[in-house]
Amino acid sequence: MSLPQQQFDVFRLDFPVTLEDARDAVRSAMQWLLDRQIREDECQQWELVLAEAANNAVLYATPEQARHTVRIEAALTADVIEIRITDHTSGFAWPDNVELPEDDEREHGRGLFIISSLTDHVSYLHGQGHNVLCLKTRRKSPPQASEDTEATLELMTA
Amino acid sequence: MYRLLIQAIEDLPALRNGIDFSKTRDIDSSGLGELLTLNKNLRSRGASLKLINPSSAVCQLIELTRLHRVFEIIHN
Repeated sequence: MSLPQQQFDVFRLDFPVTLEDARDAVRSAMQWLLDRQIREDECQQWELVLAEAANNAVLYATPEQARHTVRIEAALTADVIEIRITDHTSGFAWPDNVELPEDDEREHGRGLFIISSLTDHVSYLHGQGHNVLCLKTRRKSPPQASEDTEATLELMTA
Repeated sequence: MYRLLIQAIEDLPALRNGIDFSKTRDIDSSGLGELLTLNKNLRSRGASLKLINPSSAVCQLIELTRLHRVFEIIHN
């Protein structure tokens, strides 16, 4: 696993396609948020959302696709936490309405619902060879005074 | 991810009293799926799964996913 790159207020980490590396990568991203005084309850929600997304990126990769790494990127602005996951699976069409399984006792089919429910905005770009899941929530924690918001926005849109 | 744990505890007689969730910080959809499998197995033996003292984060997720309609939650 490569070391996280942290310039300005952006986090970027590429991890191999294994569940263990996914778990470590999610923990690294959470630590990055905690280090920036994001509230613990916010971090806990993000940890769950990211675990769902990162696990999907691992579990749905074919052996060929698993040769690529998965990328987690996080960025903070004054108001928003944005996290992107780039994977190399075959992808899927994100449903217009993400709902729970009709059968309460069905063992699968809750991951996308959890991701959608715990974030304010979800977009899923299904590309050729890679997919980008972009997640945003409004910050509950006030930003630090030293945060360079313009630089962060510039990096996110570059 | 949780399968080994579930297999290990599935046959314990004490399981009929419930699983102590007090030290479980969080759980994801894979974990919920394994609990549902365990619940089905217990039902076939005439029991059902009880979650004892789950954290507020776990409770919130269980309610969010409507699984409070499936699992018995016990706070004591």
